[in-house]
Amino acid sequence: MMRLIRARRRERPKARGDGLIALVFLAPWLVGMVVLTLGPMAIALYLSFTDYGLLQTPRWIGLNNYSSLVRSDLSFIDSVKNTVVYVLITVPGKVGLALGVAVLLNARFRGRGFYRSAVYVPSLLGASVALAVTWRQIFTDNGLLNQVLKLFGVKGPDWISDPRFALYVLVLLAIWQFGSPMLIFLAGLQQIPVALLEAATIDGASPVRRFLSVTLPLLTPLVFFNVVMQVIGSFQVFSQAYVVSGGTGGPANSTLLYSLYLYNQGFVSFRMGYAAAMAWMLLIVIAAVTAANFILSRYWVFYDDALD
Amino acid sequence: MAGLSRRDLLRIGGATALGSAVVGCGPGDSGGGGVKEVRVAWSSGAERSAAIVKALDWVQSQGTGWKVTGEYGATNALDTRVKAQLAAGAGPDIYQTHNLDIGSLVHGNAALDLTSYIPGTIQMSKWDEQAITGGRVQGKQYSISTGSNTVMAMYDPNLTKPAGLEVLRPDWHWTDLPGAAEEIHKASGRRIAGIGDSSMELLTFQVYLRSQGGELFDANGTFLPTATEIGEYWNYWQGMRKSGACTSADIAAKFNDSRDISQNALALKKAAIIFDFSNRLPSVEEVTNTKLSSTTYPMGQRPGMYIRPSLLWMVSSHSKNPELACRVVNGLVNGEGAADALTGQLGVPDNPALFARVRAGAADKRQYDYIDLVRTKKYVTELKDVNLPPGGGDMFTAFGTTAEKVAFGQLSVADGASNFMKLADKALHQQR
Repeated sequence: MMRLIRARRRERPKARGDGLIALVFLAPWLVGMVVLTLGPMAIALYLSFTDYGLLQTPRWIGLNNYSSLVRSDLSFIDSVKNTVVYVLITVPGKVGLALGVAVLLNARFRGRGFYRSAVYVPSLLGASVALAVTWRQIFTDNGLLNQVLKLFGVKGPDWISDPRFALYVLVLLAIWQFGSPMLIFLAGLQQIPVALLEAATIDGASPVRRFLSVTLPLLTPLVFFNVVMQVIGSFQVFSQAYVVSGGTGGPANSTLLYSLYLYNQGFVSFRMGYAAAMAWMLLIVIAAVTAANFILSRYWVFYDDALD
Repeated sequence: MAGLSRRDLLRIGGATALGSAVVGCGPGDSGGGGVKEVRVAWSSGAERSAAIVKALDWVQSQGTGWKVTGEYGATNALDTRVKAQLAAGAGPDIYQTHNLDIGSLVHGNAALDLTSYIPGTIQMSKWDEQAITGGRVQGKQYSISTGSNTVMAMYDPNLTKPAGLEVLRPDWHWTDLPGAAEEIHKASGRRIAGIGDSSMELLTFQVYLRSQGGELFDANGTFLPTATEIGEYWNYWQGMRKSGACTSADIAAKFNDSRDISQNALALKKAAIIFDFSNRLPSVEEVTNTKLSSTTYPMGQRPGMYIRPSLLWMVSSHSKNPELACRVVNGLVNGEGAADALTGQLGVPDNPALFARVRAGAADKRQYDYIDLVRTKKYVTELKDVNLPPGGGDMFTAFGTTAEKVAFGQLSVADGASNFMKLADKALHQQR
């Protein structure tokens, strides 16, 4: 025993040296994290308790920004409502479509590689201005969609300028960009042991039963991953709303998503303290929803190590 | 979204080339050999930018030992960048702003009080009093008018003629408008509205309110209208919307949200009349591709219109060369070459001699004639404080958004007016 302790003591200087070297290699990342992430977060937290208009010195006002947001900001309430609707439709829509297309593209057929690339292209386009212009051309008064509807004698509305539809144009744009979760599902589908599917077939299971009882349970970790990622991304969505609405969140605040309103408060109205409070509220909400997702995942996510 | 035409591209190219001529070096170059740099920033479209660059070029040629650098861009992007720079004390020496924003800039200590440079460096002794006070905030001269404008009803006579309204007379009243607009709508076979919906425009509401004897703010910056008065205004437009006299909510929202001149109801061929600013008549004609006529806004107990600075030149409180910056401002507003270059795009010159000079040389004199008409025939009621208090910009946005909700039927007029009062209070309160 004593020998062992001595041996460990002898190893310490080397271990310290290793630790130091590790720290040196990690330093750029650590410095980056402190300077570019933790530092700004801490500053934003401080600013959230101040009245800071960019042009003035921050003035401590305690919880006023937070209480003002919740109590009297009607546009804030609009932005929260819009974002909740957006998340509730976009996440299931995008994940569901991604799963469905992944299952289709997992089948063997001619030109499979081409289709896999083709459906991923919209995700590569991101929220570019070109995409927004295209989207406008499709959904505007004289756009492609209304031209098609006209062929059937239907006069469509101006989808982007009508508050009843404008948010759903953004939802559609987001769902259309389902390439990334689709790719993850596709990778997962290829990992499912063929033996399990064959055994189910021998037992007389139909394709639907095989999907529901074998494929889907084995994919639940990926469904969970995609849901978590999409929920976080959807709460933070900014660019699509900015480019499609021209930055205003109009008409009638119908496309005013949370991040867009945050941006407008900070960089259009120059209420940096107020915007910082909004950013921290968003962080807390996303953290809470993600935590809830993790807790609920115990009841529906199946990890195959449970078989061991 | 309006695309860039070949012409726009050429204009941007031309403006950039002219900019390079003025700039000499890129923005931010401090210049060498004792040359002092004065940075000027503004946001505008390509055509106006080209005119400002040309004017700055002329100003620079009037002196030695200085270099005038121009920076410009699209409204939101440039304003965000410049305000961040001003906050850091590194902004341009001269910044072009407007009456919605100057109050906030003064409140943030970003603007220099120019009083000590008048009349030594900036001369305004022969200017109309209205043009001088138009640059003041809290009684101090924090900015200088770029040129004056007022509001104007622009209309396509080909569209008003079928209703027997080929010429709209300047002594019309707000009570005349719904009937006239409905007649135009009917005469067009209900194809177009009589007028573009202006319920979302705070500044049109201001003119309406003033014509009823009211004011938007008192001298202390207190918001004066009641929810009832706002409700009356929105009901006025609501009635016209129902009869087809004014455009539908989606057409109005399209312009309100984009502030893009090509999205106004005249350009979209959805109405015969629109309300806009007088100096924009040539631009509106260009996007409409029609020779337009013009008249005043309707009146009430008194005219609600007022003459005001189209835009404002402000000198940064952090400017290292405030004296030079004031010389540049003076050159822009009092220089013959600058006035010739600007061609009234920043409003008609406030210097009477320049007004006469530019008017005489202008191919299109209507903007000058119109300002003369409203001045001499008293179609205006003087307004001393044309600049909105801090938070005015947010209030402007809140008015438009709430009016959109009312127009789309998401809020009743009464609820909309009540909501706006809360938003206005918040906007003004947060900036104090």
